[in-house]
Amino acid sequence: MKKYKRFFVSMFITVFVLSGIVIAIIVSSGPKSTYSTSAYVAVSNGAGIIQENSFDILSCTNEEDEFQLEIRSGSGEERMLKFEISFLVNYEQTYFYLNDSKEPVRNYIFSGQDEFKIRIDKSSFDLKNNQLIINIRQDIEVTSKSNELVRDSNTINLRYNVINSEKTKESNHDIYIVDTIENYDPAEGAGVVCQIRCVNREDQALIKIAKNEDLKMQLEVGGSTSAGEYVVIAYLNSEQTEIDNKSNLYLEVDKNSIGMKQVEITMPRESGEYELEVFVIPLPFDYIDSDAILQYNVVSAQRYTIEVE
Amino acid sequence: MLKRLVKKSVLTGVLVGTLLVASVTVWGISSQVEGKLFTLNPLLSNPKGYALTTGYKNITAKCSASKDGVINSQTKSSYASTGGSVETNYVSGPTFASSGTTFKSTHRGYNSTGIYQIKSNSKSY
Repeated sequence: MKKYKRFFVSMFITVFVLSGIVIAIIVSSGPKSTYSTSAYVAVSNGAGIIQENSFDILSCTNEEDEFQLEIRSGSGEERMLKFEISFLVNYEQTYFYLNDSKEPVRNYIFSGQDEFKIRIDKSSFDLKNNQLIINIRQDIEVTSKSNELVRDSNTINLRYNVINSEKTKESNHDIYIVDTIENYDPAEGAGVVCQIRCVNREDQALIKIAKNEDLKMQLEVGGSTSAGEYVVIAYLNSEQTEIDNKSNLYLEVDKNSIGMKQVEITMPRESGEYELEVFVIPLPFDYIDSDAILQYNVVSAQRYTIEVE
Repeated sequence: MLKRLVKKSVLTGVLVGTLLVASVTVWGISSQVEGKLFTLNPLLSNPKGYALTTGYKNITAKCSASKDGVINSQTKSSYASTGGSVETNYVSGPTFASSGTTFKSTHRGYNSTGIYQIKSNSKSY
């Protein structure tokens, strides 16, 4: 037995040292940081929760002949999250009235869980097939600068067709052609592509800009196997800002292609910190086919924190 | 004869009870939208991950992988109009080295009371 002592001692030391190395490799190869959010939204017209992507404006008209929705929203996380909600009608941010207020607002911040009523002037819905987007930014106190993991946006964009049978007008907008086109072979389920990156400075989460300076960025949009038209909108916090001096930018891109265009995003004239989000909406004025919802989802590019000096 | 009948009814009761518990559990799991992001960091290939969503109606799962300074990010999505579960294919990080690679999953759908739920998970290597 004595003659095996050295053998056993050396074997145990080897096992101990190697196990330590293997555990160190496993631990160090795991994720270094994680981040999660969860939220719920119930949009109701008073008669019940709206689950379809298409509905008639009359089903959401109140006694004062205003467009009215009841919204219940909040976080599923244990930590307290702050949310900011805003509305776009036909890809233009619209004013709304909160509960019984007579003061129009552009956005509303709430935390935890909340239930409120919003009213929008019906004249905003001036097309036969109007597009309503409910934009809810989640965990608004966490910026791209402070946590890289929120750069893949968590903003909720609920998209609806609001049919106004009293109108006959169709959308009439200029469509812009992209600067260059690249062929794109989408993998199955790859979906619509939307990317932006800086063109005249280092591409990083925090962008510092001088006062009165606008931001030049390279926009890449496309990737759908069927869609040809996209609309691009930009948000600073929960305020829509202009792209190439327009509130929204309609682009035409061939199927299975990525269109690239250099754009200028209007920056605020007041000093401060803003979170920039660029959204792309494919098939902007189509009737949403619920069975092919992935084709119609609003897609977000990477977020940036903008510091206006 | 009586013993045999008792045995039979006990067995049937156990069987029905098991089925009831199983169906209530399955309904309970899928009545709310839940989602998980699974990631792997294999030693001999690029890091990879996929998203799994369970829910009641119109559920989607989306998973993307990206890395700072590397353009080739990958995204995959899956959709099911009925409840149950849906998962994406694997997406791979753009480079063999995992450091700096971020995976993000988004899980969306309606729960059994018609409320829209959305969850997202991110992991960075």
